[in-house]
Amino acid sequence: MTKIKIKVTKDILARSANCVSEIEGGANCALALAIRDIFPDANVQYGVIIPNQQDFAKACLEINGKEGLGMCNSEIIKRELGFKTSGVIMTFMMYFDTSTPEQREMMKEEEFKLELPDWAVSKIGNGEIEEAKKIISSSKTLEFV
Amino acid sequence: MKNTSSKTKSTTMPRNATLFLSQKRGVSTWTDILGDEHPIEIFEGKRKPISNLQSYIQRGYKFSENRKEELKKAAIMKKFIGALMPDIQEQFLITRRINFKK
Repeated sequence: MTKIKIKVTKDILARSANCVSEIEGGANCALALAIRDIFPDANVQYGVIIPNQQDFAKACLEINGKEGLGMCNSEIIKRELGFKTSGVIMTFMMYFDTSTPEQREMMKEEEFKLELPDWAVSKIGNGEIEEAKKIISSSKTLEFV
Repeated sequence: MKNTSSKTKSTTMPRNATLFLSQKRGVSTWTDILGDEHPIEIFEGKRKPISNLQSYIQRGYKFSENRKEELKKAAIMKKFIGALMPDIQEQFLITRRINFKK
Protein backbone atom coordinates (compact mmCIF):
# COMPACT_ATOMS: atom_id res chain seq x y z
CA MET A 1 0.00 0.00 0.00
CA THR A 2 1.35 3.44 -0.97
CA LYS A 3 0.00 6.59 0.64
CA ILE A 4 -0.13 9.76 -1.40
CA LYS A 5 -1.60 13.23 -1.05
CA ILE A 6 -3.85 14.64 -3.78
CA LYS A 7 -3.77 18.41 -4.11
CA VAL A 8 -6.79 20.04 -5.70
CA THR A 9 -5.10 23.31 -6.61
CA LYS A 10 -6.64 26.54 -7.84
CA ASP A 11 -5.43 25.63 -11.31
CA ILE A 12 -7.28 22.32 -11.13
CA LEU A 13 -10.43 24.06 -9.89
CA ALA A 14 -10.24 26.57 -12.72
CA ARG A 15 -9.66 23.89 -15.37
CA SER A 16 -12.52 21.74 -14.11
CA ALA A 17 -14.99 24.55 -13.40
CA ASN A 18 -17.14 23.72 -16.44
CA CYS A 19 -17.10 19.98 -15.84
CA VAL A 20 -20.57 18.46 -16.28
CA SER A 21 -20.62 16.03 -13.39
CA GLU A 22 -23.58 14.10 -14.74
CA ILE A 23 -21.72 13.16 -17.89
CA GLU A 24 -18.02 13.60 -17.34
CA GLY A 25 -17.69 13.79 -13.57
CA GLY A 26 -15.60 10.66 -13.38
CA ALA A 27 -13.26 11.61 -16.17
CA ASN A 28 -12.78 15.38 -16.26
CA CYS A 29 -13.76 16.92 -12.93
CA ALA A 30 -11.36 18.11 -10.24
CA LEU A 31 -10.17 14.84 -8.73
CA ALA A 32 -9.77 13.12 -12.07
CA LEU A 33 -7.56 16.01 -13.22
CA ALA A 34 -5.61 15.97 -9.96
CA ILE A 35 -4.61 12.32 -10.41
CA ARG A 36 -4.11 12.52 -14.17
CA ASP A 37 -0.33 12.44 -13.86
CA ILE A 38 -0.46 8.89 -12.52
CA PHE A 39 -3.70 7.70 -14.09
CA PRO A 40 -4.29 9.57 -17.37
CA ASP A 41 -7.37 7.51 -18.24
CA ALA A 42 -8.89 7.28 -14.77
CA ASN A 43 -12.51 7.50 -13.82
CA VAL A 44 -13.25 8.80 -10.34
CA GLN A 45 -16.61 7.81 -8.94
CA TYR A 46 -18.19 8.29 -5.53
CA GLY A 47 -16.38 5.73 -3.45
CA VAL A 48 -14.09 4.24 -6.05
CA ILE A 49 -11.31 5.18 -8.45
CA ILE A 50 -10.88 3.20 -11.64
CA PRO A 51 -7.29 3.77 -12.82
CA ASN A 52 -8.05 2.73 -16.39
CA GLN A 53 -11.61 3.24 -17.54
CA GLN A 54 -11.01 1.48 -20.86
CA ASP A 55 -10.02 -1.70 -19.00
CA PHE A 56 -13.14 -1.39 -16.94
CA ALA A 57 -15.37 -0.95 -19.96
CA LYS A 58 -13.92 -4.08 -21.57
CA ALA A 59 -14.33 -6.09 -18.36
CA CYS A 60 -17.88 -4.84 -17.92
CA LEU A 61 -18.82 -5.97 -21.42
CA GLU A 62 -17.15 -9.31 -20.80
CA ILE A 63 -19.03 -9.81 -17.54
CA ASN A 64 -22.47 -8.65 -18.49
CA GLY A 65 -22.56 -8.24 -22.23
CA LYS A 66 -24.24 -5.32 -23.91
CA GLU A 67 -27.36 -5.71 -21.83
CA GLY A 68 -25.44 -5.12 -18.65
CA LEU A 69 -23.73 -1.85 -19.45
CA GLY A 70 -23.22 0.10 -16.28
CA MET A 71 -24.16 -2.81 -14.07
CA CYS A 72 -20.82 -4.35 -13.14
CA ASN A 73 -21.21 -3.68 -9.44
CA SER A 74 -18.57 -5.15 -7.19
CA GLU A 75 -17.03 -7.24 -9.99
CA ILE A 76 -14.70 -4.33 -10.59
CA ILE A 77 -13.12 -4.66 -7.17
CA LYS A 78 -12.81 -8.44 -7.48
CA ARG A 79 -10.92 -7.96 -10.71
CA GLU A 80 -8.66 -5.28 -9.27
CA LEU A 81 -9.83 -2.61 -11.67
CA GLY A 82 -10.82 -0.13 -9.00
CA PHE A 83 -10.06 0.81 -5.39
CA LYS A 84 -12.01 2.57 -2.71
CA THR A 85 -11.56 6.18 -1.65
CA SER A 86 -12.23 7.93 1.64
CA GLY A 87 -15.44 9.57 2.81
CA VAL A 88 -13.69 12.96 2.86
CA ILE A 89 -12.96 12.68 -0.84
CA MET A 90 -16.54 11.79 -1.58
CA THR A 91 -17.83 14.69 0.46
CA PHE A 92 -15.62 17.01 -1.56
CA MET A 93 -16.88 15.43 -4.79
CA MET A 94 -20.48 16.03 -3.85
CA TYR A 95 -19.71 19.61 -2.86
CA PHE A 96 -17.91 20.13 -6.18
CA ASP A 97 -20.61 18.42 -8.23
CA THR A 98 -23.37 20.55 -6.78
CA SER A 99 -21.49 23.84 -7.23
CA THR A 100 -21.73 26.16 -10.22
CA PRO A 101 -18.67 26.98 -12.36
CA GLU A 102 -18.32 30.31 -10.57
CA GLN A 103 -18.51 28.70 -7.14
CA ARG A 104 -15.95 26.08 -8.16
CA GLU A 105 -13.46 28.73 -9.19
CA MET A 106 -13.92 30.40 -5.81
CA MET A 107 -13.44 27.18 -3.81
CA LYS A 108 -10.31 26.98 -1.72
CA GLU A 109 -7.55 24.50 -2.44
CA GLU A 110 -7.95 21.10 -0.80
CA GLU A 111 -5.67 18.18 -0.02
CA PHE A 112 -6.71 14.58 0.44
CA LYS A 113 -4.88 11.45 1.47
CA LEU A 114 -5.27 8.43 -0.76
CA GLU A 115 -4.10 4.87 -0.30
CA LEU A 116 -3.01 3.21 -3.50
CA PRO A 117 -3.05 -0.57 -3.47
CA ASP A 118 0.06 -2.22 -4.92
CA TRP A 119 -1.75 -3.37 -8.05
CA ALA A 120 -2.77 0.24 -8.74
CA VAL A 121 0.81 1.46 -8.28
CA SER A 122 1.86 -1.10 -10.86
CA LYS A 123 -0.41 0.66 -13.38
CA ILE A 124 1.54 3.90 -13.11
CA GLY A 125 3.93 4.63 -15.98
CA ASN A 126 5.81 1.52 -17.09
CA GLY A 127 4.77 -0.39 -13.99
CA GLU A 128 8.11 -0.04 -12.23
CA ILE A 129 7.96 1.38 -8.72
CA GLU A 130 10.89 3.70 -9.41
CA GLU A 131 9.07 5.30 -12.30
CA ALA A 132 5.93 5.65 -10.21
CA LYS A 133 7.96 7.46 -7.56
CA LYS A 134 9.49 9.71 -10.19
CA ILE A 135 6.09 10.61 -11.67
CA ILE A 136 4.54 11.35 -8.27
CA SER A 137 7.56 13.39 -7.12
CA SER A 138 7.48 15.58 -10.22
CA SER A 139 3.70 16.10 -10.12
CA LYS A 140 2.27 19.44 -9.06
CA THR A 141 -0.86 17.81 -7.71
CA LEU A 142 0.49 14.67 -6.03
CA GLU A 143 2.87 14.03 -3.19
CA PHE A 144 4.05 11.07 -1.13
CA VAL A 145 2.81 11.04 2.45
CA MET B 1 -22.27 36.48 -54.18
CA LYS B 2 -24.21 34.31 -51.76
CA ASN B 3 -21.34 31.87 -51.34
CA THR B 4 -18.80 34.57 -50.69
CA SER B 5 -20.98 36.12 -48.03
CA SER B 6 -21.47 32.80 -46.26
CA LYS B 7 -17.73 32.05 -46.29
CA THR B 8 -16.87 35.41 -44.78
CA LYS B 9 -19.33 34.89 -41.97
CA SER B 10 -17.92 31.48 -41.15
CA THR B 11 -14.26 32.55 -41.02
CA THR B 12 -14.95 35.54 -38.80
CA MET B 13 -16.57 33.39 -36.12
CA PRO B 14 -14.28 33.04 -33.11
CA ARG B 15 -12.91 29.50 -32.98
CA ASN B 16 -13.77 29.07 -29.33
CA ALA B 17 -17.25 30.50 -29.60
CA THR B 18 -19.31 28.97 -26.85
CA LEU B 19 -22.35 26.89 -27.45
CA PHE B 20 -24.19 29.45 -25.37
CA LEU B 21 -23.73 31.85 -28.24
CA SER B 22 -24.37 29.13 -30.77
CA GLN B 23 -27.57 28.27 -28.98
CA LYS B 24 -29.33 31.00 -30.91
CA ARG B 25 -28.29 29.19 -34.06
CA GLY B 26 -29.98 25.98 -32.96
CA VAL B 27 -27.72 24.33 -30.38
CA SER B 28 -30.02 23.81 -27.46
CA THR B 29 -29.94 20.17 -26.41
CA TRP B 30 -27.39 17.56 -25.41
CA THR B 31 -28.02 15.82 -28.72
CA ASP B 32 -26.70 18.94 -30.45
CA ILE B 33 -23.44 18.40 -28.58
CA LEU B 34 -23.22 14.65 -28.25
CA GLY B 35 -24.90 13.64 -31.49
CA ASP B 36 -27.61 11.09 -32.09
CA GLU B 37 -25.42 8.11 -31.33
CA HIS B 38 -24.96 9.30 -27.76
CA PRO B 39 -28.41 9.14 -26.23
CA ILE B 40 -29.48 11.69 -23.67
CA GLU B 41 -30.59 8.88 -21.43
CA ILE B 42 -27.78 7.18 -19.58
CA PHE B 43 -27.51 4.14 -17.37
CA GLU B 44 -27.67 4.71 -13.64
CA GLY B 45 -28.83 1.27 -12.63
CA LYS B 46 -31.93 2.19 -14.55
CA ARG B 47 -32.24 4.74 -17.32
CA LYS B 48 -32.15 8.28 -16.08
CA PRO B 49 -32.13 11.41 -18.20
CA ILE B 50 -29.28 13.88 -17.96
CA SER B 51 -30.45 17.28 -16.77
CA ASN B 52 -31.49 19.69 -19.48
CA LEU B 53 -28.62 21.50 -21.20
CA GLN B 54 -30.42 24.79 -20.64
CA SER B 55 -30.32 24.32 -16.88
CA TYR B 56 -26.53 24.04 -17.09
CA ILE B 57 -26.28 27.14 -19.24
CA GLN B 58 -28.45 29.04 -16.76
CA ARG B 59 -26.09 28.05 -13.94
CA GLY B 60 -23.17 29.58 -15.83
CA TYR B 61 -21.66 26.58 -17.60
CA LYS B 62 -19.94 27.38 -20.86
CA PHE B 63 -19.54 24.74 -23.51
CA SER B 64 -16.73 25.59 -25.85
CA GLU B 65 -16.56 23.90 -29.23
CA ASN B 66 -13.29 22.20 -28.37
CA ARG B 67 -14.94 20.35 -25.49
CA LYS B 68 -17.42 18.51 -27.68
CA GLU B 69 -15.12 15.53 -28.23
CA GLU B 70 -14.25 15.38 -24.55
CA LEU B 71 -17.93 15.28 -23.64
CA LYS B 72 -18.68 12.67 -26.28
CA LYS B 73 -15.92 10.39 -25.00
CA ALA B 74 -17.10 10.83 -21.43
CA ALA B 75 -20.70 10.10 -22.42
CA ILE B 76 -19.66 6.76 -23.88
CA MET B 77 -17.83 5.79 -20.69
CA LYS B 78 -20.74 6.96 -18.61
CA LYS B 79 -22.84 4.20 -20.13
CA PHE B 80 -20.43 1.68 -18.69
CA ILE B 81 -19.61 3.28 -15.39
CA GLY B 82 -22.87 5.04 -14.56
CA ALA B 83 -24.12 2.41 -12.18
CA LEU B 84 -20.83 1.35 -10.77
CA MET B 85 -21.05 -0.01 -7.28
CA PRO B 86 -24.58 1.22 -6.60
CA ASP B 87 -24.60 -0.47 -3.21
CA ILE B 88 -21.50 1.39 -2.05
CA GLN B 89 -22.62 4.65 -3.62
CA GLU B 90 -25.92 4.38 -1.83
CA GLN B 91 -24.14 3.99 1.52
CA PHE B 92 -21.97 7.02 0.90
CA LEU B 93 -24.85 9.16 -0.26
CA ILE B 94 -26.66 8.39 2.98
CA THR B 95 -23.53 9.30 4.95
CA ARG B 96 -23.17 12.55 3.08
CA ARG B 97 -26.80 13.48 3.59
CA ILE B 98 -26.22 13.11 7.31
CA ASN B 99 -23.08 15.24 7.08
CA PHE B 100 -24.90 17.99 5.27
CA LYS B 101 -27.65 18.01 7.86
CA LYS B 102 -25.04 18.77 10.52
